[in-house]
Amino acid sequence: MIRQLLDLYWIRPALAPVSCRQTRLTPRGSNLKLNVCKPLACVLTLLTGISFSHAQPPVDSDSRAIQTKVVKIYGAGGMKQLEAYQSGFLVSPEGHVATVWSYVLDVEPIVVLDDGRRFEAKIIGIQPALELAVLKIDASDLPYLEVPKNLTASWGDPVLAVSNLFGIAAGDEPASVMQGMIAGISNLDARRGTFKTAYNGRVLLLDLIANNPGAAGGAVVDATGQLVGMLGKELRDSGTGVWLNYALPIDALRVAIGDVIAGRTTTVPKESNPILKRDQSHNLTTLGMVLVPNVLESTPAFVDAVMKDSPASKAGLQEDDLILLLDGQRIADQQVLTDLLRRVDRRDAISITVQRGSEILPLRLRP
Amino acid sequence: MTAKYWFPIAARRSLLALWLLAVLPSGLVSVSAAEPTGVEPDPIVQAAETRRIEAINRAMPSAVSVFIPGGGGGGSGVLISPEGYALTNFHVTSPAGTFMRCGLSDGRVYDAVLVGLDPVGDLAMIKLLGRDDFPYAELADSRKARAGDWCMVIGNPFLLATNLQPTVTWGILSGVGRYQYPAGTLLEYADCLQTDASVNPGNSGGPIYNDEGKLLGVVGRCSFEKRGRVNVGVGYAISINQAKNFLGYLRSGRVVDHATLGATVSTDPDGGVVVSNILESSDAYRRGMRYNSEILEIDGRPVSTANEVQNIMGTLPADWRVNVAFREDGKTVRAPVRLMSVHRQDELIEKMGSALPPPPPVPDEPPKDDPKDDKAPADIPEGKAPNGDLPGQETAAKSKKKRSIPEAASKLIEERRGFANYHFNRLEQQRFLTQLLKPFGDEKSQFNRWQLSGKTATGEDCTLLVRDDEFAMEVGQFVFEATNKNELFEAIDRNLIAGVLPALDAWRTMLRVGPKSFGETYYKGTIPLAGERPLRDCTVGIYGEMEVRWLMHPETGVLECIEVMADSDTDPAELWVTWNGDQVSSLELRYGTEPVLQLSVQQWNRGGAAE
Amino acid sequence: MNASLSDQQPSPSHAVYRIARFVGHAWPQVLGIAGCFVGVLLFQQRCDAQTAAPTKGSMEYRTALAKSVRRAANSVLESVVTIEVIGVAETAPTRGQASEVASDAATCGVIIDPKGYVIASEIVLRKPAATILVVLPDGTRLTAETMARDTHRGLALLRVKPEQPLPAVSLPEEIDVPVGSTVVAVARYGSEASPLVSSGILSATERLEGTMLQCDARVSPAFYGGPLVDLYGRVIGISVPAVAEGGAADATSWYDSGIAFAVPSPVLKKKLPRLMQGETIQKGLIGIVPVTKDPYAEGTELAAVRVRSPAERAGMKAGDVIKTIAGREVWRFQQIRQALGQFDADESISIAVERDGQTLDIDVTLADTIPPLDPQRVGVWVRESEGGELTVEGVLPGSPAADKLKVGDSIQQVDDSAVESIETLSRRLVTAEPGKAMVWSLLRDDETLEVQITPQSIAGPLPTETLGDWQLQESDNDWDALELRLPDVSNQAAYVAPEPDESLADQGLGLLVLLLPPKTRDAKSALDPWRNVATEAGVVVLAICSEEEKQWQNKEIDVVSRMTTMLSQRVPVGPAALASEGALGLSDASAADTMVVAIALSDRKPFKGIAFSASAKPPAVRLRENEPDNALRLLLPIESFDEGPTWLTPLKTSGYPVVLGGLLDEQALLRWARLLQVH
Repeated sequence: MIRQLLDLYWIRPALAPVSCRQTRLTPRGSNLKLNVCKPLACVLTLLTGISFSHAQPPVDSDSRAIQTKVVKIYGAGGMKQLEAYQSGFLVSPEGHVATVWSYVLDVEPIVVLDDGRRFEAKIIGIQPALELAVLKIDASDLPYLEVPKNLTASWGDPVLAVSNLFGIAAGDEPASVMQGMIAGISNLDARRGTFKTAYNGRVLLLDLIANNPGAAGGAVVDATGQLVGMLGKELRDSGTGVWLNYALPIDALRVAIGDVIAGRTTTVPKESNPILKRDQSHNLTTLGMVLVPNVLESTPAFVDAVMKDSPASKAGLQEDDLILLLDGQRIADQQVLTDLLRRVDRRDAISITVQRGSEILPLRLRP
Repeated sequence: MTAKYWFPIAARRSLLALWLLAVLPSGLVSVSAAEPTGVEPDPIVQAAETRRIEAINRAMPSAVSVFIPGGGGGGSGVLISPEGYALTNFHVTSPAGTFMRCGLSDGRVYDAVLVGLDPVGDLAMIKLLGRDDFPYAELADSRKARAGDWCMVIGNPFLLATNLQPTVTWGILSGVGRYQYPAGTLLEYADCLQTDASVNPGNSGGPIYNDEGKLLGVVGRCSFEKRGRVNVGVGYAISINQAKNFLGYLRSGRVVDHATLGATVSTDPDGGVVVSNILESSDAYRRGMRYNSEILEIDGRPVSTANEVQNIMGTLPADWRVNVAFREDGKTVRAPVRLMSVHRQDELIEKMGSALPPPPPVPDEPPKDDPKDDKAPADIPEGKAPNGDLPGQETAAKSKKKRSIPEAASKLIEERRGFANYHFNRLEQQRFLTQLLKPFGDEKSQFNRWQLSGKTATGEDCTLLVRDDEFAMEVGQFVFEATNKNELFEAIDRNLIAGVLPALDAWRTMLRVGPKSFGETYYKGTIPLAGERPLRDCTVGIYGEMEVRWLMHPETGVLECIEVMADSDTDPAELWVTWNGDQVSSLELRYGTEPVLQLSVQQWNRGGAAE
Repeated sequence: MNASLSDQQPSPSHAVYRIARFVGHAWPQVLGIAGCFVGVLLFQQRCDAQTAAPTKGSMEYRTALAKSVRRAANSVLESVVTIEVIGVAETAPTRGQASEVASDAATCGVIIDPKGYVIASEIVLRKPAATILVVLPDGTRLTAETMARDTHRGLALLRVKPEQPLPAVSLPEEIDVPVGSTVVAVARYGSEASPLVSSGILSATERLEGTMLQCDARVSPAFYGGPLVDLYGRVIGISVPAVAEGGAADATSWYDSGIAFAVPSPVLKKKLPRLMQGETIQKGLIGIVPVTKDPYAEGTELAAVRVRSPAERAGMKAGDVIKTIAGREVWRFQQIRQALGQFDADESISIAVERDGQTLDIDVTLADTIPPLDPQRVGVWVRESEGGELTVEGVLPGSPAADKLKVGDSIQQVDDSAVESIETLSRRLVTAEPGKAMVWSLLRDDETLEVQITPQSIAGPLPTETLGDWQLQESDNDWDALELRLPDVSNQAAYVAPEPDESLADQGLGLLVLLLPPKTRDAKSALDPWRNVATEAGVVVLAICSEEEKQWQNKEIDVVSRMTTMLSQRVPVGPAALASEGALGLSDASAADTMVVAIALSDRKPFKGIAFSASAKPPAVRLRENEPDNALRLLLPIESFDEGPTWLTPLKTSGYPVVLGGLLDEQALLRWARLLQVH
């Protein structure tokens, strides 16, 4: 049933099958009260905090606060029977959204805020090595999650994970909240191909089933309400066959997010430039590389061979490299690569980003 | 429930452990218990532990493990009354038909029978047998629940409770007011709860409690897509507030339906919900709702999006009359609106037929499409179980024998088309008749002929006469006389004050002949009175071409209103009755929301010759 | 527009229902348009930013919890080791395989003795490996030898040779942890063996026939073999992969599901000495067969005692009523299973039984195996009357019972104990000793007499005879096909059956449940070729489609048994047979054949026999012994056993009789299905 829904989303991104009463109960209403008599409200929350009627102090106010900063992102994928949506969270009042870099962003995504407002978002920067993308929507004065300077997380810390897993929430429905703890902090096993991710570094392992379809890009916060990580894509250890529950630690993402927002690094897709004549544009031969046979519907751009003394070999391209980016644009498959090359003058140099093993390398190919 | 053992605190320092194991006979290990280990949970945590365990102990006795005899799966349920009424999912009871076995955490197994079904809402009511002091859950107000509240799920996932000790899982509400589309069939989850407490196959029908052990809802489904039949952190529960709306309906032993407004709505770009389509035959239309009216409130709940409307409607039973507030050309209208049923008469039965309990084996009469056409049930003396006096009963009993249903249970099962278990409707009809007779006593002759006289609000004299073949009223200049029900039908259709007569006569006739011979009569359940709670007991009977509804107060059993419907798209006549002790002090006739006749009763002659 | 729909639609409310549904999908659009209204929200959103701080109470509680969890975990972590299995033939799992989890997935172990004894999950021994390594917290790798395994609880005891004594946990002799207490699964993960925890609450105790603790912590394979501690740091159990019987294809299937099991420490502590001496521990079997069909119903009488079983050796007899097991009072058979479930082979327990009014105490020494079933039959069809009297309804020509039993005979006793229900009789025969004559005492025309009947094995060629013809109902046109549906699943299903009517109950209707190949999507029309033969043979046929067009999935096992149960509520039928079209000699095997076997081996409660193609692929489920209280027989379209698939042999040796159907056609298949009620 979920699947049908997903396709529905795909056909009209940001379509909401239904919204809910919750939105009425939550801050819109309650905050108005807050404005009037804030001190009182605080006292109340304090009381409920230590109220003994509860087996455990509820985390609802915490959850609500985070829900308002988590967004729903709708994009590509439905046609491939993949979830055409994921999650993200606001990192600035001006509408910067941190999320994972995935096929969902192959089209200009639609961002739906907690209050149901719907924006066409720009991808203003991506960081493949971190599987990070930063989006920008045209809004201001938004509630956002502070990206902390340094990460003070250790195993055993309780966390809330807020995301739109399974695309359950739509329109102005709040995202889903899950609770658990940081099960451990460990490096992703770097054995080649063990995990199908470009990210190679420390992750926060979680003891909750957070990494579901659509959850990627969700926010993980600790008991103090501080952001500690971003939920990663669904990941299955191909060595053991076990699904991983994890988040990318925020300290690993912090710099990249900052740089993108500050405009220091940008890998924005170029305005699409026109297709050139075959004899004027680049192609695989001019660059001196051969890709693995393009047999699949969408064959990844794995390098099969590199010609001697070609721009490719000079740049240090190697067999088995996987081409991720061409001049900052995502290479979904070989088709995309060849198309893009048709738009580059063969006298120009090109920049590509490749994944070798679990490293990410930028290469510059000069004709 | 707990592994009862005493537990010596063990040594942790490795060397100490080594020393102990190497040197001391293991019997002396407990010596080390004397030494502080430094591992003591924080007091705050300890307190929370204690409270959680208390809450679980409060909740667990009401949790039910449902076993389908013959190994057709099973599930969970939750007791909500000391008599043994329990809630579970329709999709859990479905393979069992009308009989199942239920285990409680007291280690005992009870027989249970099906009571009522709500296929659209995926709810079923069952009754556990053999006790009148069952432990039962305290119902919470699920509308107060928020995402982030702690909650627990108790039930029988994967039917693990072979020792009848259910499984407890703990988590938080991940979302409230969720909507889940009907999955292939009619199961629709509106305004439901989402939890990250582990919910697995077999939890279906079981309780989700808040952290005080009060019942928040009935667990119903999960997102299993990712890993086959294993929880991935998302479970859904039908809110207990929705269940509360349906309790009376389910107790009626019927297969019940959900409500629709008779209009469709959409969210206005500038906010608010507007009517995008409306049936002229709907009560909403009669109350003045039109295309483009803005809907403000339904059943006391403000609405601002079309989705909120569907979420609310999804939790309301068919034929309820709820207060609706809407704006139509500048004016705000608040009025009780009669809701329609989502399905056509019998459509629901046809749709779900293949999943409902079997109808009784070949009745002598040709099978009827409409329960209303069936022969009326025989009245049965209080207490006595329904006997095999109905066509098909004999064989129904036999085939039950084959299905090895214990006697105690099988005598509480009566299969009948349109009903989950007709037996329970019989009981309610019996209760209805007793309450209706209460003010009058059961001297039948007094119901042969009724003559009332009194004054109207405007001071005019008024007399009413009803008996089998004569219906007459006289108010000032207005005189009405009729000899058959068709003329009464007319009176209501044309909203005449003479509409008081059919109501009065239906009342009289029911008292005289009882549900059996009145014309197909059944207990409908509990519904609001003109949109107001508490929910009133509602019994329906067919009177000529007209449908009559008696609404009685749930506690006192006092008759408050008789509604007579002539045509589905005109307002029914409502006869409101005011009592002074056992005496009727005044009557009021209304069409829609308008009183058309108010009568203070001065004299009420009952009895005399019937002809 | 302000259209009334009543004129376009027969039913107003119906029409509105449709619109409602349509609008349900159309709303989003509306919202889409609604998208960009701003209103006062901005202002309020700011307030959110300010209210971001968690409530004091929840923050305090959760930070305190974190501390407590870490303390508890730290108190055992030094004894938690990682276990690496190197060089396993099979590695990364592929879809459709029994296990999602690779056999060489790293798991954990707990040092339980300074001398180097490490307890681990049996999963490390699942596949033969080149070597097993124990990785100490400091990263030291030591090769481990396998000392012993406890197959009953899924544990393995490993031994390493450390240079100096290792820090060992001490296992409590007794624990008292109430359900609902916070528990923490502890492990180490990854190359740096970083600490790994998962916390939850204790969900239940005495699970899986009394052997396991259950908690709702998300326990993934890395935790297997690791300790489960409470907030006092007490090791209350060892996490192991496990699922309920018939619950899933593989023991690891429930990882992360919030349903996790652990072997209670006190139990492990008791078993350690045996394990340290290298003894393999196995589940203890007894060999008793209940009278009752429903283990949750009251009644603990024995219908039979297995041949050469511990129960028989100890002198238990059919008709005995069990009162207590190892001191535990029991009144339901489920309780007997629960009580016995905790014992191992070679352990002796005392059982109090009631026999002829006296209570006897019997000591039974449980065994690890019981000779497999060889179900027997004499060829009699009986009816059970209200008072539990069995009368002969028919005798199968050419069967051992032919010209020994007569229609109308009332069966009093078989051998030296009474038979008062059909179940008892069938279980008595299923467990009867092959080739040994049985003494049947009968009441014939008010005279008691005894006859000797030597049963014959059910295995072998399919009998060509059949019961007395099924009398067609007055209307002799074929039965109609009706739809059957479960509300919560989308599987199509339909059945052909006679109009329900009182006479049916006694006519011995058979039931054949037919799983259709995934490509067949219309159950009703799939029944067309069956309607006539079914009507002729007096066998109700239920045809079920798979949910997906490509495959039958394991999750549908429970769909099939629920539908079967549901149908038997509607029509009074005899025991159910499960078959695929592949069972017919001329058709090919499909996924349905594999599914038939999968169901039979997992949740076979409703079924007494299955028929499938000889070229069916084996399913990914664990093989279980055939059980006398639900003996299952297999029918294949083969002339001799050797024509069957290779994996038929293990089935046979597990006590499943194989019936040779030869070139099966619809008639023969249905005849067999109806014969399932012949004993």
